[in-house]
Amino acid sequence: MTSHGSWMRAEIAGPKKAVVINKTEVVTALLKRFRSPVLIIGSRSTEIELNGGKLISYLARIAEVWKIPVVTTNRSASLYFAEIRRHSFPIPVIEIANLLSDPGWKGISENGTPDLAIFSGLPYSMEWTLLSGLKHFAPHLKTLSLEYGYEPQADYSLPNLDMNKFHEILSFIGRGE
Amino acid sequence: METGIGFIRDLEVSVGHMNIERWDEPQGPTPFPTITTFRNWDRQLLSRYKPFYMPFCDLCCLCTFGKCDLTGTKRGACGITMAAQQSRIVLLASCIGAATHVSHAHELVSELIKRFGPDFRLDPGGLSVGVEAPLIRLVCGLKPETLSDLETVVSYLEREVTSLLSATHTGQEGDPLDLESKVFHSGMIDHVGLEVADIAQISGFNFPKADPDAPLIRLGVKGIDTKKPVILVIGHNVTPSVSIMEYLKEFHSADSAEVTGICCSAIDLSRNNKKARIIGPISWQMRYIRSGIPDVIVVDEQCIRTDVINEAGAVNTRVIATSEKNCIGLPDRTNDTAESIINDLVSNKLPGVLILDPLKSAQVAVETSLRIFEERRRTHRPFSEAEANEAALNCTGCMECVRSCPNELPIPDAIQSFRDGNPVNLRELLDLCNGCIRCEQACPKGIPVHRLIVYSGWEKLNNEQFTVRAGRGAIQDTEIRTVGGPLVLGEIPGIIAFVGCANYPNGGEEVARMAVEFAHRKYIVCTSGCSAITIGMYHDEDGKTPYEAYSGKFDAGCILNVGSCVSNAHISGAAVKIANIFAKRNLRGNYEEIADYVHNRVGAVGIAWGAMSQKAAAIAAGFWRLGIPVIVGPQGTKYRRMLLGRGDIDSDWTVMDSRTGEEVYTGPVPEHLFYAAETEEEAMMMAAKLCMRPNDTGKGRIIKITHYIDLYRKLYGKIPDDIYRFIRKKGDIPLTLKDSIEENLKMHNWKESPIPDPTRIRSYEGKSGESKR
Ligand code: SF4
Ligand code: SF4
Ligand code: SF4
Repeated sequence: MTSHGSWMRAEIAGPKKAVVINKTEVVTALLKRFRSPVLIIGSRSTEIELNGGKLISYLARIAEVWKIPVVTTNRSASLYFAEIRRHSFPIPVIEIANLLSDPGWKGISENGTPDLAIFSGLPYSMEWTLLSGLKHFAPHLKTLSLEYGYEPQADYSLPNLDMNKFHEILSFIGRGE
Repeated sequence: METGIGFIRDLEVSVGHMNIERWDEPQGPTPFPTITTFRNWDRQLLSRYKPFYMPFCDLCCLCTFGKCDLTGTKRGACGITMAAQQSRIVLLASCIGAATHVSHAHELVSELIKRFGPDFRLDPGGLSVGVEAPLIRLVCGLKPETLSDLETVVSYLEREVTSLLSATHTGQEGDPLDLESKVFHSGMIDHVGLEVADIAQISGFNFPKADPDAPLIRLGVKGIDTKKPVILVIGHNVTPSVSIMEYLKEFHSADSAEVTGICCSAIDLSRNNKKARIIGPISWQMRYIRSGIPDVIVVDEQCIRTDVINEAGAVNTRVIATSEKNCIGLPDRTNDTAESIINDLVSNKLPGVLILDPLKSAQVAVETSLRIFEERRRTHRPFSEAEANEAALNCTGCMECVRSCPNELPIPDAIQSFRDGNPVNLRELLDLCNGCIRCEQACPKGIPVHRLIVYSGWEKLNNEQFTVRAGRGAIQDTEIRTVGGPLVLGEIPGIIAFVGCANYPNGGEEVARMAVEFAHRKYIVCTSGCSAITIGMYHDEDGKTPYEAYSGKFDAGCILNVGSCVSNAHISGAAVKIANIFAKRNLRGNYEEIADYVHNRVGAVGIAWGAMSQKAAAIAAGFWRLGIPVIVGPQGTKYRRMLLGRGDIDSDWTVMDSRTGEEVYTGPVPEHLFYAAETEEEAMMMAAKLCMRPNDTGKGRIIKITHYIDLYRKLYGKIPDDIYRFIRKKGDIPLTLKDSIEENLKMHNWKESPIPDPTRIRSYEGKSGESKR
């Protein structure tokens, strides 16, 4: 599988495309660098199956270890967080993207405008277009895509990955090192 | 005619014969509006519902100055910004859609004038419809009575579409909001075009006239009688299809062939003749053509696969193109004798022909199918088990198909299971597949992926018989009188309209489920076009389709099909008629006041779950200008911009209270104008939320809030944090939720606010003045 180029073949982006994260440490460096990240978890997070469970279980771990507030956009992810008794902010994805595009927005619990928005588990094309909106109209914000498919409209994105590699990367991030 | 608009003076000669004197309603301020007439109204809407752009491309390549990189804050060589460029693309799409509908309307009117003469009287609703053309009355200030009156309207529409399109030229309109205002104008023009088309065809082709009990039509492939010739019609302009039925009746018998259809031509044909069979929505083209069942395919216009000739050729089906707009490379045989054309098709000298004469195309279609069908039945070889097995064996699991599939369907895994003797996974993909064939284009091994999916699912398809109620057309005046009060007061929680194409993210079942859910909750559920067909394709536990289980009357708890794409005019028309018939507001040339009424009082929402076309964009835009929100599915973000409100910014949500002249806070109702939902549950929650209006009475608001909270809970498992924004007085609180809502109010320092007599137009001056603010 090629690691460059959009996961969806025809959804070609550019000239400005996401930096491909080939070393997992880059993600952890980003998480250390940004003061106010937010993790946005989409509806596919409870469908995508990796070696160690559903994608959402990795994301919940990452959020916990790195103390990142979580937005769940949908029913299944919200229920998952309720079941594991962890807090998530339920906000539809189009609304959170619109809020993130506003530099004057005070943040999900009024604790400041996020400076890094991490997206995972969204339908590919929808994430592609929302990230494009933020790329062009939210210069104050950086975006990071944690998907198995490269999302070129983000500022930073994982490359196209097979599920083993995706598992390894998410597990590494979840160790919080 | 007293009007400040030059155009209407130019038109005086041509409208001189219209019976304007017989219409005693005084002319309103804005008959035949131009592209700037409602700029202030549009800006009012856009000040709340700001565009959120999602460019599909960083570049602009519209002129030879380009390509220009518009990333971030860069401007193009012409000076345009990315924001304006996105609005320009939306305008282009909406212009394409409006032009398509207006041209379609023009052709229908011309054809009917040819058949019945210009003085043929319009009758879209018999005695039950007094306001026969609410949108034409509203926008043009005319009361059309004959077909030739509609020609006058069409001339105006064509002029506006041309002006709008010219605004997209390089170095023309460059301000995003001015472009958005023009998008709204294109939508309003589009809806008038829809109305022209539908009232013309209802009158001329004798469709159901506002009939809640329009007949149930057979839907699906089960039971097609292949002992007879089978004709397939695809497209939107019903004239060639009606001609086929007429020809059969006159020269053979109505039952001597199976006439089947896909998309809106099928819907409209079934309005003309209940014997027609609807096969499915637009996404069913490939599976049905490839089945080899149709002997002859007659295509007219819009949303037809452009490779129809190749696919039909592969199964030896003959094609007849009938529209100047869709000649698909075929030789024009319009002026040849029918016999010579039939001979050329029967002998396979030609795979298809273009015939720009509906009567002749009907004759050729019927006679050709009669002559070839037995031979075709003998020689047609369906995709075989051996071919399917061999194709599956070639799969390497490379994922290229998945990376091309809009729904990322798990094709390789399903093929692997099929290889292992389990066809279920492949079969299940059929329900989720949009029939785009991108998987086949992508497969490096040349595997006919879609064919394989259809092969696995065909038996199931062939065993399912559904029904859809024939499109009823307009809503009766008496129905409007009955529901107007409860709707405007909020006691019927809203009108939910399922419209648009079949590019569904998870198959059509979601649309059917949503329609049933809202009907069950006593909303008024309207359907049209491919969504109307899709909703008919499901059975409840009692084996009933939604159209069998729910009433077709425009009332709480109905599921009513207005008809095809062009019948969407009756949905916006119903909202407008509520203002006119129930609230006694003048319609004539009075768009702004009526839009203000609809936006503030009529809780209507459109859901276009699989919208993909430019026509769908134009239809949505027509709803936006009336202040009616539209929700699309996740693929809808590819329309490139949403119109989103910010409930958290209180100053965005004021209206003027007509009683006191004061600006008062209303809460974010409705919160968005164009919104993409990720999931079915989110769409339902949002639709319920967007039905709230400032005018709701306490009782009405309680009902709407109860549905909103319930659907929100189903989505997120708790009561919405923003509920305090929708409570104006304690009387708005549903008793059963009192404790949790009061806690929410306390947390947010809630204060009571008045229930106004709401208007937004009185917040700015006059018809041409600047905004007061
Ligand atoms: S229209 Fe403007 S932005 Fe587009 S290519 Fe031409 S100069 Fe560049
Ligand atoms: S593209 Fe073709 S070979 Fe590759 S996984 Fe899909 S069906 Fe198999
Ligand atoms: S035809 Fe169906 S399976 Fe193939 S790419 Fe299109 S939606 Fe996916």
